[in-house]
Amino acid sequence: MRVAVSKINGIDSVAVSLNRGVAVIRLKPENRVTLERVREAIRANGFTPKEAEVRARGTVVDDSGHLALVMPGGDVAFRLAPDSHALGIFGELQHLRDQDVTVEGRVPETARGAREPVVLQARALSKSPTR
Amino acid sequence: MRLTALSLVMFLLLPGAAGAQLQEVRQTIFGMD
Repeated sequence: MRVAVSKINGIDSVAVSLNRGVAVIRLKPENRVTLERVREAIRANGFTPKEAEVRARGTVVDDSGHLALVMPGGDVAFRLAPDSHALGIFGELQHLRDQDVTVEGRVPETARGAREPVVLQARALSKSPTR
Repeated sequence: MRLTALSLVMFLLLPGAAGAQLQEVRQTIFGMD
């Protein structure tokens, strides 16, 4: 599995601990890798991806009435929701609309081939440093 | 996905300034199916 995920263009490093049941994946700057692409590679190797903790950088936008984090070209990377332990973060996200931010949070398990946007439950938020 | 007009303008005028990248993923995995 480590080799398969490493082969995805834009992956910097992969460390897998089967005892702890976790894969820690670091990505290169300016990559275009999606979480679903990583999860597909994991599934293809016979493992089942459950929830993930992610850190992602992007622009907060209003997408049909929902806050979302978008990629270059306008694809929605994540729909944003507050983590149940950080409900106040939603107000901060509203104020940072159309700005470049770094968001940390939890992405629940998703069904294979699910079409709805992946939800990132934001726990921490900061303005991104200038590129 | 529909985006706000302002966001689309940002993508057109400022390529690279309005992007999203995964930086780190800690993916929980279950064993062999």
